[in-house]
Amino acid sequence: MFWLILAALTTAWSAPVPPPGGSRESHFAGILRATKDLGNYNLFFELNSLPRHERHDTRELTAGAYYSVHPSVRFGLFYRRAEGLRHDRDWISSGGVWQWRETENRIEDLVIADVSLKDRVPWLENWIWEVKTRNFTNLYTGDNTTMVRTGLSYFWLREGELVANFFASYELHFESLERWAYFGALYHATEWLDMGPIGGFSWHTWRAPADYINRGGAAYEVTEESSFIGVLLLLTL
Amino acid sequence: MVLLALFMIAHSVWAQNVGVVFLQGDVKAGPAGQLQKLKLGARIPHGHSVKTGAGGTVILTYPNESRIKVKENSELTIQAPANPQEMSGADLVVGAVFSMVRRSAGQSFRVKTPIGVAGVRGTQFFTSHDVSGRTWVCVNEGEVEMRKENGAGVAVTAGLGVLVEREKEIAPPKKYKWTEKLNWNMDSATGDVIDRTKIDGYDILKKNYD
Repeated sequence: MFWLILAALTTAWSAPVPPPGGSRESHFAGILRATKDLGNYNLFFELNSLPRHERHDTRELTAGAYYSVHPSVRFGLFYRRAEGLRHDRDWISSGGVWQWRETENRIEDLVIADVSLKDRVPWLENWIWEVKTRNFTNLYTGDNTTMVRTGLSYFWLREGELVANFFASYELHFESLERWAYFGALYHATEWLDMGPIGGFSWHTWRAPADYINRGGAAYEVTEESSFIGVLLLLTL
Repeated sequence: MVLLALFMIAHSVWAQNVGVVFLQGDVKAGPAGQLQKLKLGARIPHGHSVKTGAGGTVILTYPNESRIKVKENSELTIQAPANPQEMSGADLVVGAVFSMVRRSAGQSFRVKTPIGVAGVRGTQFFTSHDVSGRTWVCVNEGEVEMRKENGAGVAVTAGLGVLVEREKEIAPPKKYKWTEKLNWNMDSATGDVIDRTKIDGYDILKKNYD
């Protein structure tokens, strides 16, 4: 009888279970950017803390440059060092318990290629539309993923000078199904400083990794959603 | 006596013309509605129109050696009266013009737009008027008085600019960042004379946030 109970408990203990989904509480985001124009080149730097996952946020340091071939078209190449990212394959069985691998302090390096298009909206004065496409090569995981972002911006001008910018964007990462919808306002405080609030929602969809399926788990898609509000600072050097 | 009369007639006619000292791109001139392609060295009589297309720039010199530089996509009427006591200058219909005015005793120069007049003696200033009815005046040297047709004048001094709108009082003169990029040069022998500044002040396409 004892051995039957022990066998039953062992079987239940190792059964693959998908990660939890659903909503999580709102978190704070902080983004610091700096840019510098050098002719057709635009140097770009960003440091951010974004709420991505349950229990911890991610931090990213991005540096690189854009090259403008036309006022509406530019290409970019960047290096990113990220901390705290999580991937499908980080859902692991540890001691028979399925859980997220602890990645809060894990460093990953990425190379990013960017193509950005933007132009004035023909029938709306001071509005800009934008489409940004990015390809990420993750040197840590070996993954190659793509993101497309669309957005609209309104420039509030007074007597020919910028007062503030209001923007809204939607971002989709194809392979991971990560999505972001965010909006914000940037006050043009000085010639070199824009600052303001940013807020929005994100959705992260987790899918069964190979190891999970190999251990008898069924394929799944679980979506985790969260909201955030934060501050964006832009320095124009 | 006949020769003297002929000389005086020729001089008075000559004094009503402005000369073309620089020309690039699409530039036409002539009586209103009868514009023809303009050539370097031509003379444009008082009351004739000058029109520049995209990429067109022309520099005109007045009898008193004042000069105006007309930007692309502009249209104006030349004011070069024979009587030196009358104001010379231009009536700007649309577009933008740089003015470099020689100080001459008793003679004033003005650029008039549909909603205001910038008048000056001996200075260098920029005037533009766009299709939405706004007039910009920016002063590089000297002082310009900007006046709406039924209002008081505002003195605009060197380094400052002013915006004039149809239904509003003239805004106080102040320094505008975009005016620092204006190309004031009117002597092609010393350098580039083409001005590429965007007139409405702020190019939203140039601002990058990420």
